[in-house]
Amino acid sequence: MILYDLRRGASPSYMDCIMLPPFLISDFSKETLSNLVRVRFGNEFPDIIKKRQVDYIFRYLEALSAKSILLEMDYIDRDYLEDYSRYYVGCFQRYGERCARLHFFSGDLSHEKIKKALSCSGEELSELKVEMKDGYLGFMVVKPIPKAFIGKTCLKIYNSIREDHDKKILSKIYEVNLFGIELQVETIAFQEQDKIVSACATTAIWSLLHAQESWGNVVPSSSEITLSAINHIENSVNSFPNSGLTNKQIFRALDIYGLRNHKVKLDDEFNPEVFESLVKSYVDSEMPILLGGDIYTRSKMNGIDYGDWLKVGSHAVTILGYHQDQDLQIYVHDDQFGPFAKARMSSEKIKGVARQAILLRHKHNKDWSESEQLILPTAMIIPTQPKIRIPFDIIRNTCEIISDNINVMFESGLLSEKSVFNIRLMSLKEFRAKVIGGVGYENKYSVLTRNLARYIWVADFFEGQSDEVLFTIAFDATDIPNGKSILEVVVANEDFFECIKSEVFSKDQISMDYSSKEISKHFYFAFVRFVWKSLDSRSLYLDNMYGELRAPNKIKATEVQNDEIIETPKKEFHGCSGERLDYLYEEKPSLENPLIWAVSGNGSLLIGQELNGRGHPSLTGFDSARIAGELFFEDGFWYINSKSGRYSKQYSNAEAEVLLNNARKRFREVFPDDEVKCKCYGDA
Amino acid sequence: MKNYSDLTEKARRASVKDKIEKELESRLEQYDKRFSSDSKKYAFDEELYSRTYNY
Repeated sequence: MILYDLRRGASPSYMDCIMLPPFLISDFSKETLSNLVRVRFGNEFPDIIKKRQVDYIFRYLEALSAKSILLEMDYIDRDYLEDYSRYYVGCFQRYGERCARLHFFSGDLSHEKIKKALSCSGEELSELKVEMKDGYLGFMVVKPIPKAFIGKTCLKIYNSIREDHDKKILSKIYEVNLFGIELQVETIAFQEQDKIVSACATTAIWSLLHAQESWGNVVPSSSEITLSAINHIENSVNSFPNSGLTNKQIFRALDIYGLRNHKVKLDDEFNPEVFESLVKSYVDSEMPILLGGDIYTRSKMNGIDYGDWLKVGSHAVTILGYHQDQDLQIYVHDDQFGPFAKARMSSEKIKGVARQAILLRHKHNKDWSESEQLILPTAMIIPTQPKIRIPFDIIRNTCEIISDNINVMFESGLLSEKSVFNIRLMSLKEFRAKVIGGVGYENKYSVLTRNLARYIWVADFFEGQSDEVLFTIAFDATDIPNGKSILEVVVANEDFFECIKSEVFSKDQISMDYSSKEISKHFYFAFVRFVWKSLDSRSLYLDNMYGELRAPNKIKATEVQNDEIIETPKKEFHGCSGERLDYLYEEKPSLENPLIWAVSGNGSLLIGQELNGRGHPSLTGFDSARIAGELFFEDGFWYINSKSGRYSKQYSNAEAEVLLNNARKRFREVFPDDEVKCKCYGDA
Repeated sequence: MKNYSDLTEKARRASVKDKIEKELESRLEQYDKRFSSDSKKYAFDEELYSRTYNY
């Protein structure tokens, strides 16, 4: 009897008495895996080996070519310790607070090798570290409770998933310390429900929080999640055992952890294409999804399968990835199976449930085969940062209209494939990284230097299955649904974009915008307005005509007096002056003693005199300007040049020539009766 | 990079702009109807809020 208590994770002083070794090692097999659990906590061997999750984890590891298992005999698991203190500590039966941990390796390990290496500090230890690190496949915490003993389980993701572009899976790095040896595993943690402090919904939230990258804090334990969910909800009973959570309780838990949510009801009329686009977009955005639904199992009559299904309950799983095959397949953490279990949307309605459903699959001989269970999805819940206010559907609607319009060109035979788009949510940092690393973006500079919202829905548009992005729309994810929302349009193929701008999204369409009286379900008109506004904007026009704004690149001591800016007398012209340079400056300036001029930020023309060594910065009042130079009279004509060390120096001769000629036109607008000519560098 | 240099010209010859503008208004009405109905269809209702996951 005492031995039984000790095995159930009893206190260390008892454990010391029986001198359990710090670790045990076995070759990898289903029997040895089950036996190590039995040895540590005394569970019944058949209860372990027949367990569906054990079978799944064994097959998962088998596919990873696991060769050895190390049982870390005494391990304190923070999650279980909290659950223990909230419930198990009060049980008459002694369940103990200590866990064990199984570590899996793809290489051979032996007691002797580890003992020897850990006893010295030389080459043998270094070799062991490398060997263990390279061959590490992950771990499984074994809790000292009967039947539902699978605690936090972190197993390496298959290489085939990482290497395949059609597969995407969420993951993060978990650091592991085994007897002082630092190991790592990249995955998302899994655990099974213990049916006491957690049911399926709690474990689904737990995995969700592990996968939510922006979740900066320590992920709460199952018991804490359950308590957060059931507190303050009408008709909730604040106690364990917990038999399940409602959707409302799930939202409550997410609220407690400072997360907003996007939610989608999936009923009989739901469109599998919508499901597919939601999964892909959110997973591409590094956001996990909680999928809720009714679970059905095959109904057999006298052992004969008539293809009917029987509802057995409602279930919640966490979607963590997808495989874009002919049909979309998803990877889920399903506490009834294991981590990254594969499931697929049925291509047709399932007999007996009259709906398309998600068919769960299980590992069979290193491959996936159809399971005896399916989920009829009823809800998707996606936790997001509180700042993300614009839901996915408005962005998808907008892209659908844009894409449909482009496809008129496809229908007219001008494009060989239809326009397609994909949507992802990005932080500003990720968006800038995408733009800075992108090839061929026409307006890269202006996009990168603009201040944008912290979270951005990013829609890339392609022709068919081509990898070549034609243009990208950045939507402000923090905006309001009736806001303008378009932050940027990044043009990757100028010819394509110029065509759709003039022929597909013509300016005349803006007059059709009748949506101002109600909250719109799309941003189509905001997009058309942006396309035209951005390219017609005055500042862009001025940039193109007279150069971008530049601060004076140096200030002379003579231009500052008693810490004050000294401005020279000047005239500022915004449009046609109705005057003549000849009359304004009767004493004609010469090349040796010229007037100075500048085009200011708003496009006005400034003309003044350089006095006492006070040049262009004194003319502009130290403000930024676009281009500046000298004005003088020679051989019966007025001339301008771009001689300004402080404002024009950054331009190449060719650029300066173009901008100077535009500045000459500006002089002609202001003084239409004067002939003004350019004198470029190198002109005689 | 795929070359679309003659796309504008081709689109003009095919009167793409006219085709789109002619149909856009009615298409936008259909979009609005569908998007509104979708947003109702995919919105949570009281029954769904109370659904318990207990498997």
